[in-house]
Amino acid sequence: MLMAELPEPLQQQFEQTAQKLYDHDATKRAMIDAVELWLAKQRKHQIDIEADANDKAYVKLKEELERNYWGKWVVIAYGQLQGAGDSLAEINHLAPDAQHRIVMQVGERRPKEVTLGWQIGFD
Amino acid sequence: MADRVRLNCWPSPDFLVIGIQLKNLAGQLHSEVEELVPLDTGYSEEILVPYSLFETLNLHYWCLPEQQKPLGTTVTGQVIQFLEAYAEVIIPKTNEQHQVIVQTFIGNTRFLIGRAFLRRFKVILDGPGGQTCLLSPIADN
Repeated sequence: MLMAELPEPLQQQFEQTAQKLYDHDATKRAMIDAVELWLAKQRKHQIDIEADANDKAYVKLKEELERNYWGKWVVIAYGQLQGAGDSLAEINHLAPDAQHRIVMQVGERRPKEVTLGWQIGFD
Repeated sequence: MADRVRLNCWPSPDFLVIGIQLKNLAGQLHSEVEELVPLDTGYSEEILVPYSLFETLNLHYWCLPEQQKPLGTTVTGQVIQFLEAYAEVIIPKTNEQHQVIVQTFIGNTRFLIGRAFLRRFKVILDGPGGQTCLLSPIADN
């Protein structure tokens, strides 16, 4: 069991708001929501940090990849090249604990611009 | 060469749809059953997924480089930068699996099939029948 003492005004505000939103188990349900949100925020933060490191590494490695790994599948994680292989399946196991990886086939061309349908926009 | 075909159809009176499941490359499915996903022939790429689904399937783990991320402009002039990742599309009705590049952007709630995915198939948009069909060749014995 997890026990923690909150500052009194924060606890009052938390309990009152939870009572308004939930008809039963209000505090417990609000606490679960809060913990889930906090965990998601921390995970997003970690993904952003790793994504930034990986994207910077890709920019540095781009010429080397195109020179030495043309047509190969590569994984970049933790800001470093983790390995290369002949298929995605061959390199899919690399950096299993990473939150973010760059996975690509070196030399694969992607469009610079996407044509959007009428359905696509911000809701 | 096979000259006989089988039609696999999805009733779709309002939208043109195909029933698919999305799977990440660790084997996690987005749904236990097929979801009817609309076709959008105005969208040039393969599959657009809701941002929440991109996160749920942990597709950050199979991302393409940010430097290659394409841009798009909506009809209202908003510029979108896409996130891209590798995933697999399963079509349970035809027992097919296709490796694809899915796209999303922050705030997106749409799940759509675009032209680049449809190029893999022969598709019938059966207006009078109110259905969308895929033509699959039947191998000759």
